[in-house]
Amino acid sequence: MIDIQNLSKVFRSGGTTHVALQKVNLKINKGEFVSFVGPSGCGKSTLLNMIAGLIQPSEGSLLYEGEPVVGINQKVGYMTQKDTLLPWRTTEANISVPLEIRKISNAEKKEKVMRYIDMVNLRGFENHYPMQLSGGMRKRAALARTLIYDPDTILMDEPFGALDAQLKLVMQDELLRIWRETQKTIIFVTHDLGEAINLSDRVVVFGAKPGRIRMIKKIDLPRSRDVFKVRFHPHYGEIYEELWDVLEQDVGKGEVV
Amino acid sequence: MESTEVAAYRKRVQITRMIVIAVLLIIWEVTARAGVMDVSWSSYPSQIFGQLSKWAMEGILWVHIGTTLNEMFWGFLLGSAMGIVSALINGRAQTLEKTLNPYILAIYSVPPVALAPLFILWFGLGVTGKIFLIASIVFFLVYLNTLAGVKEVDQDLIDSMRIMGADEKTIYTRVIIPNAGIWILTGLKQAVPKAITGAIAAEMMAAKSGMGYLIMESSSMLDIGGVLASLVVLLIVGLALTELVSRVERFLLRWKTA
Repeated sequence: MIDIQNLSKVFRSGGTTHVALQKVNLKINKGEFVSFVGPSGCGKSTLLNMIAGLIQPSEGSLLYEGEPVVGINQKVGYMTQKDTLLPWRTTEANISVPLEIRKISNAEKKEKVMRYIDMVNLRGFENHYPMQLSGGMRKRAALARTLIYDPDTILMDEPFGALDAQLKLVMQDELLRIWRETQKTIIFVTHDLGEAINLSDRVVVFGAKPGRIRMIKKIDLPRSRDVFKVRFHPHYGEIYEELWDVLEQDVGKGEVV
Repeated sequence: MESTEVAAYRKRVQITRMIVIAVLLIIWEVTARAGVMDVSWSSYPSQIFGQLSKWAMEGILWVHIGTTLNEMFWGFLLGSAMGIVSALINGRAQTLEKTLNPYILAIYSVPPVALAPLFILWFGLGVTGKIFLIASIVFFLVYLNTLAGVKEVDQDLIDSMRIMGADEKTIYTRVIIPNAGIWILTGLKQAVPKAITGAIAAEMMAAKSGMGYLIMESSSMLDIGGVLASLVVLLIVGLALTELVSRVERFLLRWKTA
C-alpha cells in the first residue's frame, strides 16, 4: 500500500544542512497497524508529513497505492498532536467539516455525524465548543473528524502524548476497537515504546542524527489485545527489552520515554 | 457563576457610584440657584434637562440624532465592507500587500479630523460627505485589524483542512474569515469612538443638521445649556453604540469564553 524506497529528506536553512531522513526503506501493508518510535528529531514526523504530501522527498521515492504523492494526499486522514478543531464550531459542526467539503446533504450529514459521535463516545457533547471539552474529548472529536470521510490510511502523530497515563490507555483501547471495526491502515508516531507495543503489528525504531530506521520488528503478541493487561503477557518483556536496546543508543541525543 | 458575596459587593459599588453622581448633581443645582456660580458659564442640571425635554418634544432632538446616526450607519457599513474585503485580498496576496502597506499607513497617520474639510469641499454640506468621511475612518481601522487577523491564522488549521480535502475557497470561508472575525470586531470597536469624533467634527465645521451642528448652533447663541445638553446626548449615543458592539461581540465570540 505504501512503498518507501531509499527516501531521504534534507532541510537547508541559511547555510546549515539538516538531514532529517536518510535512506529510508519501508513497506506498509493495507490494514496494518504500524508504529514509529524514536527520540525527538529522528524524522518520524517528517516521514508522516511526506506520506501526507505536506513535504516532498529530497531523494528516493514514496509511492502511495503505486502512485507518487504529488501535493496534499487526500486519501489519508491526519491526527496531529495539537488538535486542529476549529474553535468557533461546536463538536458536531467540527466533525461534519469533511462532509461539508464533500457537499453531503444535510440529512445524511446529521445522521453520519451522530453515528461517529457515538463511535468515539461523545454523545451529549455535540453542542459544546472545543474550549468546553477536556483534552481527551477533543482528541476523540478530532478522531471522529478524521474517520468520518473514510480515508484508507490514518496518520497519527503522538495523538495521546498530552494525556495522562490512565486516559492514554483508555484512548488506546478505543483506538484498537475502532481499528478492528474499520480495518484501516494506521501509522502511529509515538515517543512511548509501551504504547507502540500495545497497539502495533510492527514497530519501526528510528534513530537520530541523521534520522534513519534502525530496526523494524514484528510484534508477536496475540490479537485482540487488551491494552490494560498486555504488559503481563510472557513475551512482552523480551519484546520491550529488544526494542529498548535499540532505542537506548539514542538516549542522550534526544527524549525517549 | 459568581458567588453571592461578589455579587453583593458589585451592587454596593454600583449604588455608591449612583449616589456620588446624584450628590454632585444636587450640589451643582443648588449652588447655581443660590447664585454662587455664574450660570451663564456653567449652566445647571434642570436647565440642561429642560432644554433636552424641549428639543425632544419639538422633535428637533430626534432629527439631529437621526442625521448623525444615519451618517454613522452608512459610513460604518461602507468602511467596514471595504476594509474587510481589502484585507482579505491583501492578506493572502503578499506582494500586493507589501506594496500598498506604506501608503495605507501614511494616510492612516493623518488625524481624521483634518480630513473633514477635504470631504466638505468635495461633497458639500450634506450627509454624503460625512458618510464618506466616516467610511474612510472606519476603513483604516477595520482594514488593519482584519489584515492582522488574516495573517495570524494558524497554519496547522489550514494544513489539516487541506488534508481533509478543502479547496482554497473553503479554507477562506471556513477558516480564514471566522478566524479573522475576532480581529474584525476589535477593529469595529475601535472605530466607533473615532467615527463619532469624525462625524461631529465635520458637522461642527459645516453642516445643516446633526449633533455637531446642534452644538455649534447652541454655542453661537451663547446657550451653554444647549451645548451641555447636546454633549449629554452625545455621551449617551456613544455609550449605547459601544455597548451594542460589545453585545454583538460577546454573542459572536461566545465560543471563546465558554
